[in-house]
Amino acid sequence: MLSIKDLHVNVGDKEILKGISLEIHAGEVHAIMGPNGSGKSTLSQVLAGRDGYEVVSGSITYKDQDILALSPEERAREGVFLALQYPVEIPGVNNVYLLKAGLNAIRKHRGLSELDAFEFLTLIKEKMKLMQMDESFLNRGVNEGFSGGEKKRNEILQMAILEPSLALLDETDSGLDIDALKIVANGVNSLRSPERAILMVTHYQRLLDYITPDYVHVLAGGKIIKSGDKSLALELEKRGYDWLTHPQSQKGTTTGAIGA
Amino acid sequence: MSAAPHSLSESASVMRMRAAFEQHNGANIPLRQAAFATFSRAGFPTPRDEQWKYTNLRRLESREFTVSHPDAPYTSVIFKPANVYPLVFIDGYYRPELSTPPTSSAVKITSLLSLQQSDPQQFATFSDIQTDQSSSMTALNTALMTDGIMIEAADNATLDQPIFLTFLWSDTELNLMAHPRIVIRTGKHAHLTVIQHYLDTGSTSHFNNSVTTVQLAAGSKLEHCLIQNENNHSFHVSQIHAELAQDSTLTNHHFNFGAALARTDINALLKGPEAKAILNGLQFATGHQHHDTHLQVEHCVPHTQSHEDYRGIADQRGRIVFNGKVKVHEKAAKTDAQQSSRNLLLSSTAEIDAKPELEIYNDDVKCAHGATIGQLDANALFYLRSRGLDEQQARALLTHAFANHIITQVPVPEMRQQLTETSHVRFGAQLEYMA
Ligand SMILES: Nc1ncnc2c1ncn2[C@@H]1O[C@H](COP(=O)(O)OP(=O)(O)O)[C@@H](O)[C@H]1O
Ligand SMILES: [Mg+2]
Repeated sequence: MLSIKDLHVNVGDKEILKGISLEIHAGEVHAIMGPNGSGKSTLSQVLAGRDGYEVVSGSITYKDQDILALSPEERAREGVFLALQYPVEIPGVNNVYLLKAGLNAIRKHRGLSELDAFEFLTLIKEKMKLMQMDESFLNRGVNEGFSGGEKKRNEILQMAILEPSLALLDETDSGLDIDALKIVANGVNSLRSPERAILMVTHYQRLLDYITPDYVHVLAGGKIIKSGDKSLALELEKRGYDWLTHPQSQKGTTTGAIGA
Repeated sequence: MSAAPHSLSESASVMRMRAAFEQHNGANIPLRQAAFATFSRAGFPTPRDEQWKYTNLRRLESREFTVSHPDAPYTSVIFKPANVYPLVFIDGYYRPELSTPPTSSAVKITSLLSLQQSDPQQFATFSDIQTDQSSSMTALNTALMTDGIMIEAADNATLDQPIFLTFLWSDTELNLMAHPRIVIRTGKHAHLTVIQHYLDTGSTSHFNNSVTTVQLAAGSKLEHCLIQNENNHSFHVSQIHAELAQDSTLTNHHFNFGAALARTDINALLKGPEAKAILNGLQFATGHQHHDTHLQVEHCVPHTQSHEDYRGIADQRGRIVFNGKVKVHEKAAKTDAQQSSRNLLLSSTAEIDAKPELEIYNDDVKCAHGATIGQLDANALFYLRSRGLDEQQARALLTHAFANHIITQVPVPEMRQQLTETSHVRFGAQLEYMA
């Protein structure tokens, strides 16, 4: 579904991603872990089409097309969804209307009929129940005055409604207490299916107790320095990143590509 | 008796106004003659005048505008929100047959033109407020005043619904001009809501030169809206001169949406302690539109407050000017004056000039001001697009959200709805996706 090959990305003159390769197939859940500043958010933003990042070399192929040629909205309509690490507050733009506009744009692109107000409300209420969100959120501005945890839940609510093929979750677990984490994990798990792929960026292994990944990658200094299965996350939990990023232990690192 | 002697240096545009004045039914009234003399001496304001630095009336002056007449036929539907007392003006003339004034005896509504005929002495008091010296455009209004309305609220008067003044144009092809005058006087502790709505859905160029004077007695409150939605070929100059006594509050919501050129002056004199002026406004200029608002608040006595919250949006070749002058007199200790001017520049060919101007002669004051000019938030734009909205739709949504901050403060729900729709149309957005 997603194939990243030797991706180099600059911000200004600074090289942030230094040759990332990653294969993700439908049905898989991948976790990317790594220290702060290693380039995790950069990777997810580049995948979603955020401008300001210069792809110097390498390629990203999604569903057999060059994703780099597509605008953010075209990617969204093709099924890419990014839950942001820092969801944006947009006072004055209504939460429901954003979702309805987004969903209908995506449905239209897929040749489906647009939902009317009633159908949409029925859908959103069902999904809000899943996310245990109060209906009062409906008529507020996008993320306006939401707490950190509420913003993250709202991201997953959006994902549940837009039903992407490729979900990118950037530190969706950070700032959540254990109850909220379970709700978010439940929302993500309910979306797991053989047709979908999930790439989740996280700092802590805690999230992986609730969403079991098929693969775990360690991103440090703009490179994937180790890949493995769920046990890698547990090892990281125990030993931290130092044994991987420390010069002496770097000799033993593996390449980033998993599966072929 | 004739107006001031015709000066040799009188410009062609002033001469055209003189010709209009001489045919006018008020030409023999001394008050009007004096006003015309004031106008003729000063002429139209020019960019040499600091207060008109960015706004040139050359285009207006080069046109010929015909004086409008009462009783022009009007057949189109009249927009009015639900639950208001509509007072309708066509071409600057009050039309009782199209209007529904309040029936309460505590609020008196009088047409100035009918007063000019029935009670010249009472009529002469309409310009009691000292304004003519300050502005040649006010003087021109006094001289050429088509008609107007005096709204007088008795002590403690309140109304169950807002008064809705709507200024429309008849469907003639003529380039008409109108000089309407609105006089609002509240008695002690009276509460009023008055909306002045200028609307032109046609495409003939008009010139509207409107003056509103407001006198608020102690403890009274006026909630006032000035909504300018003329057609994009027209010229609109409007002024509000307000005087606030002790404990009175003026809240104004001002919208410049339409016209090729619109200039608004809002002057508020805070003359009694605890007097408060709240001035909110939104200007949106696109195409070749030019919108200029000058605010001037004078804190004359101790313990007075002013709050200014203005937003401007300029797109395409639009031009926005905002000037917020706050003057704190020497004896006006404990003044609290807050001013915010936030502006969105949506294209590289648009232009915005936003300037606070503080003149403070007392040290014991709290004055804050901030003026910003920026672009749409790139993070927000990306966020909306990443949810599937196309770029144009995302921009329209964010622009509307920026404007909405001012719109939501309007106290009349139906009017808010109308303003929202107007802003959608002007921002080119799809209605159903707005907050
Ligand atoms: N827009 C930007 N401008 C400048 N530097 C940036 C920008 N975005 C990211 N960086 C830098 O790139 C590196 C990686 O950042 P990021 O992708 O946010 O890391 P992570 O998400 O892994 O914490 C950091 O050193 C950060 O300072
Ligand atoms: Mg990050």
